[in-house]
Amino acid sequence: MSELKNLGTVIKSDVMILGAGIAGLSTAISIKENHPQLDVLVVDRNRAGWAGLSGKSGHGFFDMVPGVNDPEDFVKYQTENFGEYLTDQDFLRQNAFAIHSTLLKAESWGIEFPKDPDGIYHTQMHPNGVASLIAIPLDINVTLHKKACEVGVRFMERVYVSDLLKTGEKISGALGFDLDDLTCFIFSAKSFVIATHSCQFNVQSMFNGNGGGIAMAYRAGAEMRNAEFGVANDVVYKNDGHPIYGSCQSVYNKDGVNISQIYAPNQPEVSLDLQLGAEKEMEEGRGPVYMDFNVETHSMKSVGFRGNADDKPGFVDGKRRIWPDALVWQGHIMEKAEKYRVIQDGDPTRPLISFKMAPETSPLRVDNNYKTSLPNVWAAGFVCYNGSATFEWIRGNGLAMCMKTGIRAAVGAGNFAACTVPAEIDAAQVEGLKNHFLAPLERKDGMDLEDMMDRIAELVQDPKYILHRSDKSMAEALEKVAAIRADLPKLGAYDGHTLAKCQDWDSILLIIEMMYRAGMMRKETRVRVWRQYRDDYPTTDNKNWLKWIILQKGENDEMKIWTEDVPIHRYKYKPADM
Amino acid sequence: MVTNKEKTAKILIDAKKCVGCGNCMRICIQDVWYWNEAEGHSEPRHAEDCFYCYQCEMSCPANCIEVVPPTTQYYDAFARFDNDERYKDTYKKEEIKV
Repeated sequence: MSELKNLGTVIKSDVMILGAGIAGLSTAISIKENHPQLDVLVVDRNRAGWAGLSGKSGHGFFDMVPGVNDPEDFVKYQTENFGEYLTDQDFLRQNAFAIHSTLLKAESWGIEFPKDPDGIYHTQMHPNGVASLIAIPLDINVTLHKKACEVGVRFMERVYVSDLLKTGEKISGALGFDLDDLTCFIFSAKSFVIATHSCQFNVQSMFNGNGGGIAMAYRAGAEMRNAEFGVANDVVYKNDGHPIYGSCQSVYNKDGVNISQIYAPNQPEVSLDLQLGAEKEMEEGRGPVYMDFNVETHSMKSVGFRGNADDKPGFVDGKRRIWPDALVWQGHIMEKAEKYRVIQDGDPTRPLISFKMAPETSPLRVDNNYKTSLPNVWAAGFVCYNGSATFEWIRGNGLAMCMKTGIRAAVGAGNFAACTVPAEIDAAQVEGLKNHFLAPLERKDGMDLEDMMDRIAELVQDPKYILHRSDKSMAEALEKVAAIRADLPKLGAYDGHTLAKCQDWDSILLIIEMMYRAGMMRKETRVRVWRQYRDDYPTTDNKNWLKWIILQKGENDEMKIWTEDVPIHRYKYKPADM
Repeated sequence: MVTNKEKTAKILIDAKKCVGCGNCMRICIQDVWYWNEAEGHSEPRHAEDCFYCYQCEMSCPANCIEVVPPTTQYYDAFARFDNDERYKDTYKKEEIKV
């Protein structure tokens, strides 16, 4: 058997953070603030400061403005409308009351939120009236990276972490590979934080979570929760599929009737209800459906469309737009679309539309200290959104939530590392996992990665599986998952990038299996965003399904699945029909 | 169904104008861009993974990158209406050449 030092370069730290997006960076800075003596290492497959989705997004920073928003209103609204009573209300309340201090913490780290000359943040009230969005700079992660370097956080970039290493019940390390020269790294640490984003199945524009952190935690024995909730959707241009942000209140049928108001009134996001309604209009001959840019709605303004006719570019209703940098980017996208899109006949301000499924799930289970069920592993950011059962996302909450969860996870991960010793790493385990990861290099003429992606995409993009769920459709999807997984050992790779994709496909297939296994168990329709809609059980069943579905890897590699009752009896908000 | 290869963006680079700043490689979260050591410029080695965020294009100080988005999508949720007698003329598309 090989010795550890012969298998790769051993890298030691006190805390290892996987992911250098806003959640990972916030965790790292917080740990150094709490425990300056700890050696904190952040590892990412991309480059710190630009890694993750947070480097690209610009929808503001969610806040509970003191004197304006009441956190309890937010808890009530989210519980009733988003989580639909599957919410861990205690956890959500804890987060809602912590959010304003997150903003103050961000400022203390050097993030400069745009303000008027009199010091007032550029703020917009969310359409639901229970939260505010504060303008953010788009280089938020560059600032955080700089701050992290100042406080002594170490970084390793362009390193793909494939697996966690386990010794007894504890995680003793992680295995990673340099994406350029395939140097093998064996990371040893006392505690770990997974901040690797949700799984978005590699089928969306702009949103590229591959589920690696979720899959490696599952393989190491972590519990998963709420994996079945994985469906959102976008209104897109019919002719090229590019999303039209801010369109949810502006969809019309051929008779000029606003069908958003019929099927999804007052919903601040594009919803499955709107898509199902639009399908109905089409089936009954009232199509095609289109989006009307000429009618101003709150959701259009909130993503940066012009306010009134007198507004200059960069202003809404006479005020400065709150996301000027984001608007530069949005404007660029629109220019490209105009340049290359096949423009259909008719009025360009009333384009024909379709829908595209935007699947996403994030089932890594955490408690309200953001600790996973593994003894020395915490999670931060969207990797554990579903798994936390807070169901707290609304537009603008992504960045704030990631930062807040990082600050929270840092407490436990830092304290644990400060008073423990690392576990010994098992060389045989490293050797087996290393050989498994590198195996596709021996099959340079193996199965094509893109062909496999097409097969995977069908399971998460075709509405007949991902949207119109039934026992029959999900059983069929699971059969296809098994068939694709059987082909994984045939994949070929020729460099670090393609090797990483082989592992990504493995992770994605595992998470699709979680989604449909949990989806089959839940015999109802529930949760507003990332909804599970079932054709065969189209209503919400509060009598039988106020339950969380939990998944965990069994001793013989089988997927164990069970339910836990939501402790609704001790929560403040309860459904009327329970 | 549209395949992954069909929905791949075309990424054009005017290599002579590349100043080697590395912005495109640094900013791309899809690992598309690599450095071509032999020719001394960056290149979109894994263009198949581009999801057209245009960050490389917008961050290039030499203005030498052009990302051409695909004119098709993976799964159009209304694709089943494309050949519907009531809609097929409305949804007729033309091929564009780049």
